[in-house]
Amino acid sequence: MHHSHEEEIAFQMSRRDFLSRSSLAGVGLAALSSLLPSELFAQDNPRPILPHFAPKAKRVIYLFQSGGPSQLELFDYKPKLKQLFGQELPPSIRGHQRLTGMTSEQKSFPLAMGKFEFHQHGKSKAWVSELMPHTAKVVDELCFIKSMHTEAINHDPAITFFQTGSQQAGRPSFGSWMSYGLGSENKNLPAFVVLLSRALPGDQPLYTKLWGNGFLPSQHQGVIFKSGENPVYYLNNPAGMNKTSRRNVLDHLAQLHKLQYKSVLDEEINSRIAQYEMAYRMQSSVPETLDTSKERDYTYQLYGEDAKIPGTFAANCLLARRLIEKDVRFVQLYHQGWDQHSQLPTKIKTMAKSVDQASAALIKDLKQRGLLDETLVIWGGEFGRTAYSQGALEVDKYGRDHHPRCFTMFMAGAGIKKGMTYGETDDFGYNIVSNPVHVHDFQATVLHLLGIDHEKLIFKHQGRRYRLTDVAGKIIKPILA
Amino acid sequence: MERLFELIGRLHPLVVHLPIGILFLTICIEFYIKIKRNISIKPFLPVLWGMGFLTSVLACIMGWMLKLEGGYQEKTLGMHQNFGIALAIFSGVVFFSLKFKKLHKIKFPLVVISLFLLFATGHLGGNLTHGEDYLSQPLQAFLAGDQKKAIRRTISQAKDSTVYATFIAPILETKCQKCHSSTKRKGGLNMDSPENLMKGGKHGSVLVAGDAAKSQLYARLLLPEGDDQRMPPKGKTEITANEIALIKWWINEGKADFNIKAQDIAQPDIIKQFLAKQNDQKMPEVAKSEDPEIPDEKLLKPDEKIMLDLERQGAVFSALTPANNFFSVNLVNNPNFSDAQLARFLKIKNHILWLDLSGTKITNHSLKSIAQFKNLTRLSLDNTAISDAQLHELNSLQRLKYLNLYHTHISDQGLESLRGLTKLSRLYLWETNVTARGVAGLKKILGKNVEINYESGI
Repeated sequence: MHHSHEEEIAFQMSRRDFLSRSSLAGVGLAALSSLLPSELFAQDNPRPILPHFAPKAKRVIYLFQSGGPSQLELFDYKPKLKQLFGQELPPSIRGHQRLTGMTSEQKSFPLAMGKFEFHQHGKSKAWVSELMPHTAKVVDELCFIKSMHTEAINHDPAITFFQTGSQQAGRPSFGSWMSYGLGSENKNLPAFVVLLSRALPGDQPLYTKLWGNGFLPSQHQGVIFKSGENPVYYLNNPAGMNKTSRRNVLDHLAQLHKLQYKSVLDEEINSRIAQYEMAYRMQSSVPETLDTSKERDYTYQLYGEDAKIPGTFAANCLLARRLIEKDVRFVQLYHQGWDQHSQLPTKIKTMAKSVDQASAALIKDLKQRGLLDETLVIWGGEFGRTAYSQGALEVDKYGRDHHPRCFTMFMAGAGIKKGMTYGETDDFGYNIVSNPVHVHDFQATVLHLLGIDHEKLIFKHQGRRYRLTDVAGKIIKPILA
Repeated sequence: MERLFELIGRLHPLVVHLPIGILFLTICIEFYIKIKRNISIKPFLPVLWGMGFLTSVLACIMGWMLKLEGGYQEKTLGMHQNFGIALAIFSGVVFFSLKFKKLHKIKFPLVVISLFLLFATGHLGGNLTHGEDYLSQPLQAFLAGDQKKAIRRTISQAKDSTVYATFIAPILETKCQKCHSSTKRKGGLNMDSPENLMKGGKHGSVLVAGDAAKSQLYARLLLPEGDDQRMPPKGKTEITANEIALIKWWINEGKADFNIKAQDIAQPDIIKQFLAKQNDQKMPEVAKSEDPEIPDEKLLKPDEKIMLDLERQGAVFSALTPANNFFSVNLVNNPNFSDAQLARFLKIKNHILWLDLSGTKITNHSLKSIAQFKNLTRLSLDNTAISDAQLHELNSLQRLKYLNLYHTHISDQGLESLRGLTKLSRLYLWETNVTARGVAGLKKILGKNVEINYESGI
C-alpha cells in the first residue's frame, strides 16, 4: 500500500469528516438523520451576539502573582498570629482540610508570623503591610477581596483553574474568551497579550496552555511579548527579504489557503490567514508600541528604576500601560517567585519589592491618563498560604504551604467600587467567616463588567457546551460601583 | 392543472388535522396499553395506525402542492416538509410492524419518535401559517407584564424620533408582517426592515416617494372590501383610518424617508389632531432602559455602507448593546485622523455613545461637529491640539459623564466654558495649563459628585 502524501491527507480528512458527520447516526436514528435539514447541525457555534449589555470595562490588565503570595504577610492582617506565635493551630480550625504531600506528614502545625508591621491607610482605612508601601498609598482606588477560595491545592491545576475555569488543561484562557467574544479594538495588535517576569529563580514553571485558545479558533490565543531585541518570535522578515516580497508571499499563501479551505471547509484555515495578516501588521505596530525611548524621567520616577530593565515586572507594567493606551483588550502579566515553602520572610521581601512600586504606579498612571475608568486591573495569585509553618519555625525563618481555603486579591478601575474590602477570614487567617468568593464567582464578575453574561458566552465542542465559569459562578454585586 | 393543484394545496391546512387527531389518539392509546397492560383495545390499533398513515400521506401530497404556490420561508418549510414525510414513514412502519412479531421489540421506540415528529411538524406548520412569534409574543408579553405596550407609548411621545420608527414600523409589524415577513413572504414581499421594504415584491416596488397614490403600500389599503388586491385581506386584522392616514402622510410629506422626523415635515390637520391626541393621553409608567448609559431612543441599525466607509477612515467600532444600535468608536489605528474625516461621522452621530479621538490630528474646528453627537456619554480628546477656544460647544452634550482632556492646551479659561456639563462625573486634565483655582471654580458649579483629576500621580 503506497499512498502519496496528498492521498494520505485526503483520506485522513474525509475520514475525520465522515466521523464528525455521522455522529448523529450513532444515536440510532440513521434513517431520520438523512431527513433532517443539515442547517440544524451545521452551525454549532454561531457568532456570539455581544455585548449582552452595556459594558463598564473595555479592557483588563491581570497582574497574576504566580506561586501563591502569602495573604498573611501582605494584606490580611492577623495580630493573633503574632500573639500565638509557635502555638499549635487548633485542630478544630483545620478540620478535615486536605493538605499537600509537603506538610501532611508534619507532626506539629505551629502558627507563624514574622516581624512585619501593618498599618491602616487612606480614607478607606485598609490594612496593608509595610512590605507594600507604595500600594498602601493607592488603597482608596482599590477593592480588596479577602475571602477568595479555590478548589485546587497545587500550582498547575490552581493557575489553570483561574485562567480557564477548569483544573484540567485544554480549555480556553480568560483572554481568549474575551478576544473571541468581544473582538479587537485595535486592528494592528492582538487582543490578548502576555508578558512574563520573575524576581526569584527556580520558582514554579508556567506553560503556554495558560494563555492557549483551547477549542476556540486559534487567532484568539495569547501572544507573548518577550523582552529583548525580538519581542515576538519569528515576526521579523528573515535577512534578505524585503517588505514587498513578504507581502507577495503572504498574498499567494492566502490564495492557497483559500483553495484549501474550499476543499476541506476547516475553519482553522481562516484562522491561519487571519494570523498571517496580523503578524504582517505587527511588524510595524509592535516595535512602535514597545519602544519606550520617548518615555520621560517622570515615568521612571513613577514605576521605579527597575522599569528600565527589560523583562522585570516594573518594565512589564509600563508596557501594559502602553498596550492599554493602544486599546489592547486583555493584557496578562505573570510574575513568578511567590512559592515560599521556606525562608518566607526573606523571600517575600524580595518579591514585594519587585511588584509594589510598579503595581501602584500602574494604577496611578492609568488614572491620570483617564484610562482607569475603562480598564479593570486585577492583582492576585492562584491560592494563599497556610497560617502554620512548614518545617522548622523561627521568627525570620519559616515557610508556608499552599492554602486554597482563603486568600486575598485586589481589583481596581472600571465598574469596581473604590476603597473597599469585601469578605473576612477568621483570627487565624485560615477559614472564611463572611462573603466567600469562589474562582468562578470572580470570573463571572469580571465578565459582567465587560458586558458579558457568563452563562451566555458559550462554545460547543465535542458535543458539550463550555463556559469560562463551567456550570457555576455568581456575580459579586456588592463590589460593583 | 395548476389551478387544481392550487385548490387542493390550499386544503392542506384543513386535511392535516386528520392525521394529527388520529395519530395523537393512537399514540395515547399505545401509551395507555404500555402503562396499564390493558389489551382489550388492542384490536383497534391496526385500523387506527392504518388511517393515520393514509391521512398523513394524503396531507404530505397536498402540502407539496401548496409548496408549489410559494411564499413561505424556505428553511422552516423544508424542516416542516421533512418532519412531515418522516412522520408518514414512521406511522407506516408502525402499521406494518403490527403484523410481524419480529418487529414488536422496536415498535415502542418508533411510537415515541412518531409523537416527537407529530409535535415538531405541527408546530413548524403553525409557525408557517401564523408567523414565528405567534406563540412567543403573547408569552413574552405575559411574562414581562405588558411592558411592551408601555415602551411603545413613550416612543410616540418623543418629539424628535423618526416618523418611520415611531409610527409606521409598528403598523407594519401588527397589520402586515403576519404574511409579509422573512418567514412567510406572500407575493415575494418582506416588510420587516427598510431595506426589504425598498426591495418590493413580485410586482415590483411598493413605495413611490412623495406619491402615495402610486405606492402599492398605500393604494391597496383603499380598495373596496371585495377586491382581491385589497390589503389586509378579508379575515385578517383590519387597518384603521388613522393608520392609513399616517402611511399616506409619511409617503407624501415625508417622501417615504426612513429617517425623517415628525417635526421636520408638514403636518396636515388630521395628523396634527392625531399627534395632539397622542400627547394628551396619560402616559403609563415609563419602562426606562435599565442602563442609564443607553438612551431610550429607538434607532435603526446604521447602513453598512456608511459603516464600511468609516472603518476605512481608521475607525474601530464596538457594539454597546446586543442590537448593535449604539457603539463605542476609537481611532487608535489612524493617528492622522483629521477634522474633515470626523465630519463624515455625523451621518451616524446619534449611534455613537463613546467617542475616543485621543492622539489624533483633530483641532478646535471639530468641536462644533462633536457637539452634535448628542448621545455621547464618554469623550476622549486627550493628546490632541484642542484648546480653550470654542470649547463651550461641548455644553450641548447633555448626557456626557466622562471627558478626557489630558495633555491638551486647555487652561482655566476653557474650564469656565464647561460649566453647562451638568451630568459630568469625571474630568481629566493632567498635563494641561489648568490651576487648582480653576478646578475649584468648576467644582463649585458642577457639584461635589464630579471628580476632577489634574495633578500628577506621584
